[in-house]
Amino acid sequence: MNTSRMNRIVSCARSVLLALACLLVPSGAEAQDLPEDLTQLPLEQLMAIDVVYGASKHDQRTTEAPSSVSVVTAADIERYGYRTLADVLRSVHGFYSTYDRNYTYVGIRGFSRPSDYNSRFLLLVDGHRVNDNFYGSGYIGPEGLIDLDLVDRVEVIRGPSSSLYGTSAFFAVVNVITRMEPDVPRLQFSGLGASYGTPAGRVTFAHAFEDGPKFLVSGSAFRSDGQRLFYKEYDDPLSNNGVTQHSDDERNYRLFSTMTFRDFTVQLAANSREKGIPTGAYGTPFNDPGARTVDDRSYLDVKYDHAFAGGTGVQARVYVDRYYYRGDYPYYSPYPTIIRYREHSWGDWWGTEAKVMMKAGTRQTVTAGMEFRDNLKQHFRWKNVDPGPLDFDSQRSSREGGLYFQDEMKVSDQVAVSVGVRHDHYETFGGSTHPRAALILMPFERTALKLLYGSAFRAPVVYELYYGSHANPDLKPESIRTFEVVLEQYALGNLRLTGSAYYYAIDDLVSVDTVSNLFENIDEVTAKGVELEVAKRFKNGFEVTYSSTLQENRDQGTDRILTNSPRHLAKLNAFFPIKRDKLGVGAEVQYTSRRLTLSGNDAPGFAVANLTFLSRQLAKGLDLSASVYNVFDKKYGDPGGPQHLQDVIEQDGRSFRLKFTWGF
Amino acid sequence: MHQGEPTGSSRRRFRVPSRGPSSVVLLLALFALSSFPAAQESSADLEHQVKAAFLYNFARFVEWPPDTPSGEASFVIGILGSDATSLALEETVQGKSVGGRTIRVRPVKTQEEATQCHMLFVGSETPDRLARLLKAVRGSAVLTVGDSDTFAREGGIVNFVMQDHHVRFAVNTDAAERAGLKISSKLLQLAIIVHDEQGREETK
Repeated sequence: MNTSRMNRIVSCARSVLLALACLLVPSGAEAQDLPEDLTQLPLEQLMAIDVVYGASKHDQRTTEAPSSVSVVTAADIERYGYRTLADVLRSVHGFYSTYDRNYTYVGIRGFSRPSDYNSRFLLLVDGHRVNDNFYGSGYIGPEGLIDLDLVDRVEVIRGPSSSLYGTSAFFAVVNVITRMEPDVPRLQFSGLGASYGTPAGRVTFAHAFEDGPKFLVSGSAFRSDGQRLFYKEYDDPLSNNGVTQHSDDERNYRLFSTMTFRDFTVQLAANSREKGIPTGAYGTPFNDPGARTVDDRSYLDVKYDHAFAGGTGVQARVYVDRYYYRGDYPYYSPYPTIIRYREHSWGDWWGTEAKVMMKAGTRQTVTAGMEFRDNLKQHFRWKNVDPGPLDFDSQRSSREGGLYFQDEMKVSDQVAVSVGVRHDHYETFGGSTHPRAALILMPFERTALKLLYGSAFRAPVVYELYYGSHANPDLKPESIRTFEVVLEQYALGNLRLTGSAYYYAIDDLVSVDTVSNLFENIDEVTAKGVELEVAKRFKNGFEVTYSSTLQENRDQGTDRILTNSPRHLAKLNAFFPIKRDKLGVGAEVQYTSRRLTLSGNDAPGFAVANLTFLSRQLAKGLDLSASVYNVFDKKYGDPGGPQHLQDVIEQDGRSFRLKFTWGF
Repeated sequence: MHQGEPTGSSRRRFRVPSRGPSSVVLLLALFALSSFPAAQESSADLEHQVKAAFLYNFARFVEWPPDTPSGEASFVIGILGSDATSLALEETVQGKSVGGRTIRVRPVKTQEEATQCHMLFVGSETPDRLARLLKAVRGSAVLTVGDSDTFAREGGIVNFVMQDHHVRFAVNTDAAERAGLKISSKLLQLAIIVHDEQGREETK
């Protein structure tokens, strides 16, 4: 047996677990007042709890959801010191992330092309589509739109969901559900300090008028000086001996507000994030703080949600969205003269959605809906900054829409069937129809077996069609067909087991063709994998979740494993309550096996451990948390993209965060 | 493209650890621990925990006639048709006390057992069985709570309704009166009030 660090971590965790097992004395039927014991809540607060929503666009028990679903709650976010949506997603089985020190990319079930722009999963905030209309990006890193402090829970729905959501719902749908009065104090302040000169703060105000509207307004600011980094690829006196300083800085300002009155909800969200690019990406001069990107995203969403007697519900929304990107790229022309190029993308769009959900008898739920989006502006400009000729300026607009229908039938107490289909029409490439079917068997108490077939598409984004350096206006949508078996088992004593096995076939994947140097629908990929998760909670509040994923993603053309696709992911989360709900420690260990890089080498496998100490109600309304990320200072890296000289980009070593939240 | 060694200091050798035995032992340890009673469902089962908490509150805010059911120091919640809410009930409500009595949660198999409960939670039932059951408990002081939207209108007393991803509940005041149960105004304020479906009115 090899005595690597990972094994030591695991065996350490194991001995801790076993020690705990010995300490735990089973208690009798005398229930205790648990911090999360809902029976302690007044009725009004119980009625204010929002339960799972997402997998079928209406409320549903997770066991009956026609997919493999994970939910990460606000409590988890607090306990494990999650800073971004990327941290949250990394904690659920089958997900990993890649950071190139500019953007964070999500990897799902072994699929994450270096520097794809997160356009193969759908990100929703309270049901509002966040992916922009230019790159199709859903941002998950510090560049994300929503401050994690405002999140009530994150629902992660694996598998294709185009039959409900249309484009982007390719590998997964991630629905972020925000908190609402009365779950937040009337006035709340939060502040933190973290390694690399990273202060951040937040102010949230929430209020409910008697029989009137309730609202929440929140503002957050985050800044980071970043690090002094060394890249051996640039170890040369001409590029500061591979050391970059003052070019890893970042800032993000966020505003979020939501108001509900009767059946209406109005939500406004906006953020602006700027980041220096310290890697010398795209051939920019190394250690030049002028290389940077700005991403602004905002939306206004008005939602109407009405439930009639007998279980029929109507939901409609209308929204206006905006995305802006600015990239500054200095270049030598010729050395040592520096010319600065600047590129912009603007995306403006509005859209509307409506759906009706009808209960036909007690055994059938029918959902039908439509969606329409009008991309008012998809504008790209690329110019010389130190005044020069305008190189490129082009603007387009386009429209797209879809109709969908889903029927869920409870054939008997043991059998449920769900079928759905959606047709989308795009001005750019035409139509696309995608079905989904699920058979859910509940043969025994507390056991659900789901047999799932799904298909999805990703429409080529404007960037790929017209504006990128490899743009090709003839692109077709990518498509995916998936088969999955999910087993969910709840055992007595609060043990939950989830297992799934899946097979994905992906066609017409957009990649750069080596001959034409344009984006083409060339690649065919098959992915297969097995996931297993075990979770258990104990009466004293101790909880533990362990998951392991084995996956293999193969390019059918070359018969090679995909780049940036780990074969194995393992995750362990454990929360140790020290003093009831006052004091506790959250520990997590995440293992990612080696990943192939673009140059055909390996980014080695690694295990990273994070630790968070949480102290609640230190004084009235005051919570404190202290986190250590990458506790063992593990050196590891993520594969670089085609724009990087670095084959592997080193990730953060050990870092710290101290955070307080004060509400009254 | 630069063909480099993966980043990492020369002091440290990267190796892919063999994790097999560790995870197996870890899983076994978890299974071994699974025999302990536990208090809460996973977060994914929030809906069921909420419903269980509601049931506990119903027990607090409803007054039973003094003589029912006789002799026991326990408050009995019967469960028909087992599902995750029942599980949450067993794990969060069982053992708590209400009005000086300890709550017991027990599965119900026969109609006679059903009449011996203070509260009866009906998870999911076929329509004909449900009708038979409601008939059987009619006239006894049993608070029947159902999980289908039409349960109260069809002669049950309370049912849960999902609204806008929140759990709400409907109360059939006629049926409550028939059973001799007094429902506190606090509960009624928050409830959706329904009445017997026309044509189903019982002649007294």
